[in-house]
Amino acid sequence: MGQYILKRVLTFIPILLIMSLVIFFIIQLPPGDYLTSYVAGLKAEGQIVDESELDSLKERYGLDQPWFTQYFKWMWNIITRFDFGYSFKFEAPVWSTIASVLPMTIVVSLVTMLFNYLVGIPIGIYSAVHQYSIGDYCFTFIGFIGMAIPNFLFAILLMYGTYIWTGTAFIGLYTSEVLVGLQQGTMQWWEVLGRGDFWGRMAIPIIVIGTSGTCGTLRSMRAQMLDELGRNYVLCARAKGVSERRIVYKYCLRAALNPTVSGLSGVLSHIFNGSTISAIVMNLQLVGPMLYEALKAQDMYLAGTILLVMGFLIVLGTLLSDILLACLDPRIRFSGRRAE
Amino acid sequence: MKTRRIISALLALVMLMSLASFASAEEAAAYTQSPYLDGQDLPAVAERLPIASDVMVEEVADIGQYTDYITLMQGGSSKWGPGKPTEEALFRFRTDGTVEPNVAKGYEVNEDCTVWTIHLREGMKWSDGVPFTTEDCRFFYEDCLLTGFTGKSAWEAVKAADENGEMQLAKFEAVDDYTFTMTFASSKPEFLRELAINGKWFFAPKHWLEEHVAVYKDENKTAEEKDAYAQALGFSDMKALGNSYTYYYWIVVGRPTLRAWQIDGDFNAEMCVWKRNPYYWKVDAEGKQLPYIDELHFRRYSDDSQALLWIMDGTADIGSVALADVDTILASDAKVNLVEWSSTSWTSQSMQLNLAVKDDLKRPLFQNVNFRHALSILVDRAQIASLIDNGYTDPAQSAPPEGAQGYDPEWTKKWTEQNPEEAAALLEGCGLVKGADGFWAFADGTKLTLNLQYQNEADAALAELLKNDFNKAGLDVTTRMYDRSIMEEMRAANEHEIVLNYENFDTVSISLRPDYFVPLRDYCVWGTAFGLWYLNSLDGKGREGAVEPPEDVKAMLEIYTNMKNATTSEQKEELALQLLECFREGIYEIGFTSANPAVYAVNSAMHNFREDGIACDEFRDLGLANFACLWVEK
Repeated sequence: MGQYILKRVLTFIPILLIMSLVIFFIIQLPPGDYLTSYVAGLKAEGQIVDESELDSLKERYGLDQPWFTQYFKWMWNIITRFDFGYSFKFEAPVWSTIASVLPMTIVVSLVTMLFNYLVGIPIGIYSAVHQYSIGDYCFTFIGFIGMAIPNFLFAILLMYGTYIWTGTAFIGLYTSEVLVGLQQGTMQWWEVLGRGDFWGRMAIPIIVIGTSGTCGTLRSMRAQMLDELGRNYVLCARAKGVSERRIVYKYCLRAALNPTVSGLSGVLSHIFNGSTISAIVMNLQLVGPMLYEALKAQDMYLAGTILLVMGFLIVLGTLLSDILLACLDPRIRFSGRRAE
Repeated sequence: MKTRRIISALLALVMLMSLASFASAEEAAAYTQSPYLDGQDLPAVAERLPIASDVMVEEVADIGQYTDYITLMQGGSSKWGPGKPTEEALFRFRTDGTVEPNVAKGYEVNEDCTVWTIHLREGMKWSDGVPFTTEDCRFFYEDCLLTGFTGKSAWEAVKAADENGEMQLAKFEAVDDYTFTMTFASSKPEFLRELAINGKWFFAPKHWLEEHVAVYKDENKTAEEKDAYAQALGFSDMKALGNSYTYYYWIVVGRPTLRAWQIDGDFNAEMCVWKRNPYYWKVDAEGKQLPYIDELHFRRYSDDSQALLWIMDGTADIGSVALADVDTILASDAKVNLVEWSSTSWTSQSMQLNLAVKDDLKRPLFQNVNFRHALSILVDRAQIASLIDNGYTDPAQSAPPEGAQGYDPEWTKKWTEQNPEEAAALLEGCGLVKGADGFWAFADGTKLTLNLQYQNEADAALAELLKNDFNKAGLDVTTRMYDRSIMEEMRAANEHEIVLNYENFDTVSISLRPDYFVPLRDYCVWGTAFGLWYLNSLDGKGREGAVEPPEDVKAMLEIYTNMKNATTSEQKEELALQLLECFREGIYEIGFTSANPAVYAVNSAMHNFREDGIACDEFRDLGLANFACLWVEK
């Protein structure tokens, strides 16, 4: 097992290098560069940018060099100094720019993910065990609605709803008071987690981001459970008088969790990235909207770094889910041993 | 027009009254401060203000109460969002297009307008209490602007042509601590207005900046050493530091300012707090130190619907409202007043043909004024006004709005009457022939296809309406939306054809801001490549992609050159009118509707928010509301 993990970790390096090259290339693909959008923005504000200024900006940002030169410089600084470059748009080092939104991104992602699994898995089991009951129909109905409503629309409706019901629209995660506190340094982000108003506002992202994921989990859990419940080993266990509870939770659930666990490979990256479109609609300052802004502005070092980290987390997540699967499913463990 | 005259007369009256109140303020000199400052370790308020005769007294409609804070909204990353409302320029615009002293106390000018003498306010201080003097102006001009530390080229405002026609920089001379002169190589009649536009501030806190500038200018240091210095301060390089500290300086935490508020926290944060400047140099008629508002809270949004909700639920005290949302706000129980400001835009819905288009068949066609005439009279403008502008605008041609230089009601009606028969005759006159399929083609049989290009989703409706009108007349049309940066790239490469609502004509005065009208560089969309030709003709550099303009455009460029070198205001005005005549003749921007007003939702408890504003960049948009005088009744 140890050798296997080591081998997998070593293959990370070439994968990440190739990935970074492809990412950088694709970011550079659209016509224009950061300056095009920067100058367009200045023009929209009625500013005049003359040729000499443009040339000096190009030189300053290194945009006058071919993309592979820019790429190698960037990579070299990452490898030698762990320096991910400078975000043009936010005018700050890339890493500190990302770090400013990272804690809340992780909180939001973890909370919505927990909601997803804690709600999706039990309901999936219930629906499978009580197939075609009224409860099953109700959950299936809600599940389909959750999957069918576009997240961004749902978010707008809920925000408007909070305005109608409470007189204050719940936009973003913080009240004005908390925001001032955070900005003035009289409050830290972890103190916010203890506030009722924060969790009140958090309900919207949980419902919006959580429901679609939850409904997915619910449907796949139900299908898997139904599959397992019809297997011969279940019949055999029943014949031997094993209790229904034991059959469902000890045997079927374990087997039915397989797809959910292999789905974990994307989870790490999801925690880092959060949901982009919904976050923009709800005014959540997370990594997702930041990536979107960076891509729009062709702020390639910021966008490149976020994508690179996401790529790294996907590779890492795949490894972790493989290990987890091996622990969970003896068949995988045994098949590996047999091959040896 | 009449109303404008009345307004100017009123303004003059107000000025007179404020002069009178100068005297009264001098007598009283009993200044008071906001309770916000009580208990802070500060000198007495009278000592923080300039000497009594030099304090600026703002004439406000309602004498105010101090207000703890107001919330404003910030979308996107534009630094001008908080920049304009807090801006303090040496001279600021009035709505009639003239300027008045602001940071400066006054000015004198010699007869031929070559020497301008500017007076500052004695005893005025930076927000950290250090005196503000002519040395701060000299430092900015000579050590920051002319050395390139700001990252911007020297403004046109400080240049004048010498006898050989070469542009020369003005000479700065300090007479004493509160008086300096600017001497030009030739007459510079529009210096103050030009300064109010592109040299909005002409000063920088020397005591705070000089060590950074010294490093920048140090010849013994290599570029790498200078960049390392900047990196230690959190910038990517020395140029970024200079640009940030002297150009976008208002978002630099801790930098002394003359503004009424000073930023206190990260500009990119979700909420950005600005705190009052205890040394602000303006008072009201009762001697209350301005601003009335202690803190500005700029709250960031990522989607327009959030801004709308914040206006409706009362979170935001002032916000710009899209016309489409006006009804939503009126239907809600939001406690806001909707204030309409007029605009200097020539039109709200427009189409510009690229007269330098690459296609060899289309280029002469687009340059033919009759073709533009034909397109203009094919369009059903009433439909556009009602369907797209919700009835807020009227069918009109793109033309200077009422009150602006060159306004003529006839011009706004030119080529606006829909007339397909006349258009067909005009198209035929352009050498086009109608094919068997019912579509117009060039004489050689090549089908004519008009490619309508736009960058905002909102313009899809306009594109479809135009397509419909043109199709009916037998013109083949394609419509397509492009991302803004792609459109920008297409413009730079001269690959655009017919663009919709792309930098609509908009200015207070064509002589002050000609860049988007006349192809002086690669700016104006109807002739980007002509601009390159013009630049080449100036410096002979031979830029690629330049296209020689037709005679009418050359004539326009000649008038512009003469206007730039004109030595009296009258000459400039005369030439500006000639330039406008070119636009009236050629209709380089085909407009469909009159300009939209700018609508602001303002907290109904707020006082002194002016109702007669004009929303334009030259007047600093929302900044014209004079934020230092706003207050909210609790």
